[in-house]
Amino acid sequence: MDLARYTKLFLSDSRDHLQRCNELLLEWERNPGAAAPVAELFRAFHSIKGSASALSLAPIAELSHAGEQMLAAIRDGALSGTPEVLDVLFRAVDGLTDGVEAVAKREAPEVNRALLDQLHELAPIPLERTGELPLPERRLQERPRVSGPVAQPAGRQVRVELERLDALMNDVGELVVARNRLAAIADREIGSELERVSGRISGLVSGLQTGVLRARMAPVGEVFDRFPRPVRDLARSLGKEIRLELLGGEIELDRSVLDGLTDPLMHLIRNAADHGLETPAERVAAGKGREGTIRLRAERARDGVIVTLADDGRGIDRAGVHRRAIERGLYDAEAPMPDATGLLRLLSHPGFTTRQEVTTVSGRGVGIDAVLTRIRAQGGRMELKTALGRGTTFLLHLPVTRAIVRALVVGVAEQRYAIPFGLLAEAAVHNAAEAEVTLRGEPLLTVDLRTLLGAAGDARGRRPAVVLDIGGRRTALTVDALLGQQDVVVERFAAPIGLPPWVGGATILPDGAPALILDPAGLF
Amino acid sequence: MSHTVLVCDDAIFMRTMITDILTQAGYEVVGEAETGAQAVEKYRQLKPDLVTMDIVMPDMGGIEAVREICKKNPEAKILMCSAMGQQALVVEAIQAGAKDFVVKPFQPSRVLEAVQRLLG
Repeated sequence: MDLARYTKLFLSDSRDHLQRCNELLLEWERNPGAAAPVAELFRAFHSIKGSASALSLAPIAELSHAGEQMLAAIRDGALSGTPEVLDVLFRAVDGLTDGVEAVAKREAPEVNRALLDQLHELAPIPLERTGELPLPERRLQERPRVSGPVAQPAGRQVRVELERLDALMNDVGELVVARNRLAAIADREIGSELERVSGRISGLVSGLQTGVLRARMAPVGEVFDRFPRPVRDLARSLGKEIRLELLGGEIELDRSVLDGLTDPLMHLIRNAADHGLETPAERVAAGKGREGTIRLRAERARDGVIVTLADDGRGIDRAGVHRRAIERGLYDAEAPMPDATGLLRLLSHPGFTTRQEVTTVSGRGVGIDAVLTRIRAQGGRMELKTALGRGTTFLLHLPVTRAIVRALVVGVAEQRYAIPFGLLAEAAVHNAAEAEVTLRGEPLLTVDLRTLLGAAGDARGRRPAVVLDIGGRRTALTVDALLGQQDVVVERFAAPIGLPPWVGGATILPDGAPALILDPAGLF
Repeated sequence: MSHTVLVCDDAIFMRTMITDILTQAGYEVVGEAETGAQAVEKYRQLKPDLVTMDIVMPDMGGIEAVREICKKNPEAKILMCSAMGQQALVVEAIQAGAKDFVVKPFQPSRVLEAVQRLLG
């Protein structure tokens, strides 16, 4: 038997089943009166049991068998879906998840005797009665979600390992670079056969690039759907009532961007539940409903996707943060109160906290720095909005894909730099005699890339400037020359310590020369 | 000519495994079904020499699918694949028209034995 192949199947299958189990259990807990999804849960446990025993994974097989027995007891009316029973089922799903993940790490799954005992105790059924009888299917077609629509796959599908798509993507990346070089050479011979062939290849490569990028896209719902379960657990352990709303789950992002989203979002959700939302008593006292809401929403934006995480809790105490920042010497006591951007900057200071006590849920500090780092690593950026007593919203601006971006290539002191199109608003002219770029009579916050890079030589006269739109604020970046637009392949590299935050990556230009990709959001 | 088989199981894991066992022994797996309803439909289309049928499947379970298939062709050769502890259901499946059964997890030799016996 091809063990590796079967193990892979087992892992992907079981993970899907367990994810589904969590969804079903949550739905069941939410609507205890509705038809219990026992049949579907039973099938999931049953399926895991089958493949686990085929692979001789006894601890997993035993646990799923015990869960199956319990579900059979509920189906037969010998047991009812009390909160206690649901809790044990949740824990069985957790136990199976642990087992499956152990297998993924090539470890031996462990037996959780206490959990097994509890399952057996609740559902003491003689072995010969554990057989199933298919229940009439009530809910096969409707796949309930916590709230809001989440994309359902349509049409026939194949499962492809991400590594294969990654390899393909790498090849396409190289191909794009080669295509750009070819086009640069062909441009010297306008009207030649070379130019025509190069044009044809350009079109084909663009098509291939779009195709591969599309194949890598997955709905955000895949990440969103992981949160209802931890939110429920958080609410319980914090003694709060929390409603999680998920919107826009059908919006698609590149797999690699999506994978990098789970941890930061989980972190922000924990913060919202722990620091943001009040206890039911506090909420009632503040004239709010007992139940707090955390809303997670994905929306398409001009050049990417915005994921917002909003809570309707107490909001961030700006004065408190201000005070703490001054105490810790992070903020000038004379300076005015920070605006939202300044607030985010303070909060993202490593280890910054306004709390004295440490909670088990989100530990010490808000850890916004960790979130920000992760989002930046995805090529994204973050914004904060908060209103005292009304809640806090984090906006994560994410690229749809991080592999290939359209960029403007600019020149500064003999070097070329690429600026991703996402933030570009327009071009302007900067007169060296003036400190700032003025656009339609309005002075803009201006940074000279030459000064920033510490380039030698003097900048005189009128030079081009790139006007950027960063979080609704217009700023200008003065350069020596605008050299044209280009699809650049973002090469990941391990950033050396001390690399300024405005370096977003590196790329190879059509003539084979390397260039840095700028992340202007890190400039202002 | 090799015998044709339709493999019915809602778990891709099991379908892959059964298909491997049968293919390596020279049988031709002509189709797979994930639900009882699909099993009935594919049986009608493909007219396979043999069907392997899981008991627990969504959208019409295996036993009901056996009943449907045997309504139209009482001679249909159906091999039930049951998990341990489903003896009562196996009896029901045999009453519904299934000809034999194997118990998961499979021993390839046991599966092939049953298949050979059914196909004569």
